[in-house]
Amino acid sequence: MSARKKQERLEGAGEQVEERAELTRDLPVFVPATSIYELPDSLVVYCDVPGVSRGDLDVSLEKGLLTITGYQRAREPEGYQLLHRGYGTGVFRRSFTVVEDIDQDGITASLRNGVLELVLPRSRQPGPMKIEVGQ
Amino acid sequence: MIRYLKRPGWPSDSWPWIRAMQGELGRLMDGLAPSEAYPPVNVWSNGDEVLVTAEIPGVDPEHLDISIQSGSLTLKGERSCPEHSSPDCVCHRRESEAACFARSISLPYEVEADRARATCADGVLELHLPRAEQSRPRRIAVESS
Repeated sequence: MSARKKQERLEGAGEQVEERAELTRDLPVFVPATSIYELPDSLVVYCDVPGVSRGDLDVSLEKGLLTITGYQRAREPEGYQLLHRGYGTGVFRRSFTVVEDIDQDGITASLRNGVLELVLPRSRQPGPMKIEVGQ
Repeated sequence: MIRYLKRPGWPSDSWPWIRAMQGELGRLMDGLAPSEAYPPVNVWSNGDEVLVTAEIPGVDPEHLDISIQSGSLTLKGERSCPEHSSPDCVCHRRESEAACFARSISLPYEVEADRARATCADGVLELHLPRAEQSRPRRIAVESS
């Protein structure tokens, strides 16, 4: 149920792509918990990104690679002494390969209560084409 | 190993010392290992108030119950996840589940629940719990005889 797991514990399975590129900022990178559903007309992705505001979220789809990056606005309160740390803050990042033909202009993203919802509609395929066999 | 244990300068029986070191290392590693308790919380204090933050993605603030009783803070809530129950829907991965949760944490001192402030933004709860007057340290003057 945890919102994240450490990158080094990541197992590259399924359509998930293991991250190779490093961030220029020296921040811990977390793999956000993600759920993916395939509907007849779209793919829906839910991604837990607590502490990430709309402006600090970057979603890209390039050559079939969907990448979600979210920078947490972590602030260490000044003048306070830390008594217990149950979670750290940094960057959420995860990539997936998308094999379906996606209508890139129709992708919608919304953020609600720290959960990103991405709807990737399939591109409308033309109907089956009948090919006449000549004599 | 035996050769090292018999080196001059080592205690005649090193095992209690090694066991003590093992226990210290175990305690250290326990402190470093992330807790599996949900929701994860960070707790700060500045002497005047306790600041608690918790990551609760997917939790509607209206479905959150925060209570303070006898020096203990309890967070209860329910995480909702969208359901796609259509027979045509295929779930490729599901790493977040809809579930109820409850967690209690001990506070470092008594707080005034009536003056507590709670905000929730982008799936992060922030609680400010002012210190109760009766829990502040009091200086006791020593009378000269």
